Amino acid sequence: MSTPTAPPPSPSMHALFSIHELLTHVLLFLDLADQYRLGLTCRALWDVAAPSVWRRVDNRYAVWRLLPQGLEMGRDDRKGLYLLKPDPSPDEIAHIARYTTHIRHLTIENNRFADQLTTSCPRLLVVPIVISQHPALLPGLQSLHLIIHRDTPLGDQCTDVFVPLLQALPYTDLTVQVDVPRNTSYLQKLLQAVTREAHRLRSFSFQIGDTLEHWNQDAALEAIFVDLQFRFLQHITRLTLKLLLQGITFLPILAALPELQYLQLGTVVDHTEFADRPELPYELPPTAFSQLRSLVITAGAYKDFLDVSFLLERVTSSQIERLELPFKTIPALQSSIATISARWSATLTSLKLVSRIFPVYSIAFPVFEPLTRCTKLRDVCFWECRLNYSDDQFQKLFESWPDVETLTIRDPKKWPRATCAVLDFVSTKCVKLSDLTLAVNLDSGMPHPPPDGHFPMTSPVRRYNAGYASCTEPRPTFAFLLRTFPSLQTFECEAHKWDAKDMRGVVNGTSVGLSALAVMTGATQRR
Amino acid sequence: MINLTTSDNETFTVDKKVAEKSVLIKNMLEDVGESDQAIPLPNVTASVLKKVLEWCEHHKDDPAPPENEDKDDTRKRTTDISEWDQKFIAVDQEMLFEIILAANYLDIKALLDVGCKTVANMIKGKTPEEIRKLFNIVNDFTPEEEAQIKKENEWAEDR
Repeated sequence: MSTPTAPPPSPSMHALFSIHELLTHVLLFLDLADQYRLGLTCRALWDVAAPSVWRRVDNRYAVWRLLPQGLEMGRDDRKGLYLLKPDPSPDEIAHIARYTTHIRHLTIENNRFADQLTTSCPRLLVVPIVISQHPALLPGLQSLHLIIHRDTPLGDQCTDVFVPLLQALPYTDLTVQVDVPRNTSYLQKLLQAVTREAHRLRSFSFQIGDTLEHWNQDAALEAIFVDLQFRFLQHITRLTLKLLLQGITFLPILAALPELQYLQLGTVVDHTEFADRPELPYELPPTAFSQLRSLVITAGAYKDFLDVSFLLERVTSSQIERLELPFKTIPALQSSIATISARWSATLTSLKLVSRIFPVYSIAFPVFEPLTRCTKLRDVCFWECRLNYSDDQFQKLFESWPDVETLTIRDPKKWPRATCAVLDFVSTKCVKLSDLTLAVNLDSGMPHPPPDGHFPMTSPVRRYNAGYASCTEPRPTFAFLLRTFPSLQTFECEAHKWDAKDMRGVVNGTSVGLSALAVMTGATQRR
Repeated sequence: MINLTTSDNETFTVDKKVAEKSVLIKNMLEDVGESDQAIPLPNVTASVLKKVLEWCEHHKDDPAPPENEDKDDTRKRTTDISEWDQKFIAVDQEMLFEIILAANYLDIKALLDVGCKTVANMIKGKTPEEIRKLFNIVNDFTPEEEAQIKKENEWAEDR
């Protein structure tokens, strides 16, 4: 508990503990619980830890507990459920402010346990009510995350509470996350309120539906967005939309946003039911996406009807740094790779290509070969692309990315693989690689140790995931991996995971290596 | 070569490239130009400077760290200390803290990170009482204050 007259740190403590700046630096390397426990040791350390603990609040009980509590109403399985006092006194507000002034990121959700009560109770929304009445409690708020659960009867009440909040707080980044709602009327009110705050919004994220259930009123929501003409996005630099909208409706509008740099599109659930839905042709303005740096299109409806290659060709930005794209045909993939390598090879640092091609085809080396021109890549992921390549072809790709730090090549279980020679190759050529996922035939291509027994390897690979690969002889395989990747901490293959200590135990015979034996004999359930 | 004089009047002669791992020394050299005069380091003792220079020598060819990192959101991993640095920093607590103070004074960010990560690793998973014992911290909360803080911040324990 900090007070203006808090005594100085005890003389027995090292001087380091009296330097605020250094303690704050130590906090950077601690998670929230450890920061909190360090703060609990004495007043001086609490003064340093409390701002850090309260910087990001995504726990709904955090602010609740500061409010003066009244009658306890019931209990959920984790925490007490309290009826809060809706009108705190000035003294109580001053007490709350000692914590809340540190908050930069706040998550607020309507109460999903409201159904437990016999009547809908506005007092359960007392946190947003108090905050919207006292916006000075959150002077440094930068991002606000609103979660609206489906299992609440509050509906319009929720809007009545959240709309004043949207007006009162000083955020610039807004995330609205809605489980499957019962109707669109309160969403309309909420989005109208967001539109009124367009002047201050720099980042906006909207997600509807959850992983269990799809919302079937896409057309109604699309109508709301169209009605608002996406006017709240005019000054946006970051935009995430996880909902089902047709390209013809929204892409021309998004493409014209003057400051948009980071765009993510997708849906929460995979809409296979829309597989045959034709994509209506759309036109984009001549300066489409002129400031774009990052384009991420995740799973969802887009995989089935959004023509990614058509979209990429019309992006006019010359500074794309990150792309994550799904593909449903090989010609679309080929055309997109040609566009990527021709236009963004000097700026692209992160690339993820996800194959949604059906029926299954292997993607031939010439399709990916143009990516050897993208020499700045640091993060590369090919997901289910079925690369049936020779060791030489893999090596040709990998040696063209000298800065690569994360390399993920994920293929199906029964797929032809490269040999250990490729691992040996990346350990010498990819000198910044720290995280590798690549299935290889672990029983093949293992290079012989040099005659002098000296391995000049300095590869920084800390994690290697061999996916569905397996090995018949764990001891030589582990020995090979440990000398090829001297910084290795974790190795995963089949359903198993070893840390380097386990592997050394197997190699030098001090561990029976039961899990290794299980893989070797095929005794375990394989993924 | 550059001469550096410590608070206990010992002088070290080091390669300029090694000394310039310290942003403080680098800036001083840029300001005063090449000179035979020793640079005084009144906040660092000889035993600590010896250790710091050992680190600078080993890391003299490392690339410069990126500037303007966002301190607000960057959560660094405490285990992210190289094997050599782990051996280097395996010293008693007093020396560890002195190295951190020296790295801060000399403005050697990467060494400061190594030191702070090591302190963070010492704290990780411990109870407040264990942390107090480890660092000789005296609990100056009243029981009521401590209870109040626990009540209002218990949520942080769940994370």
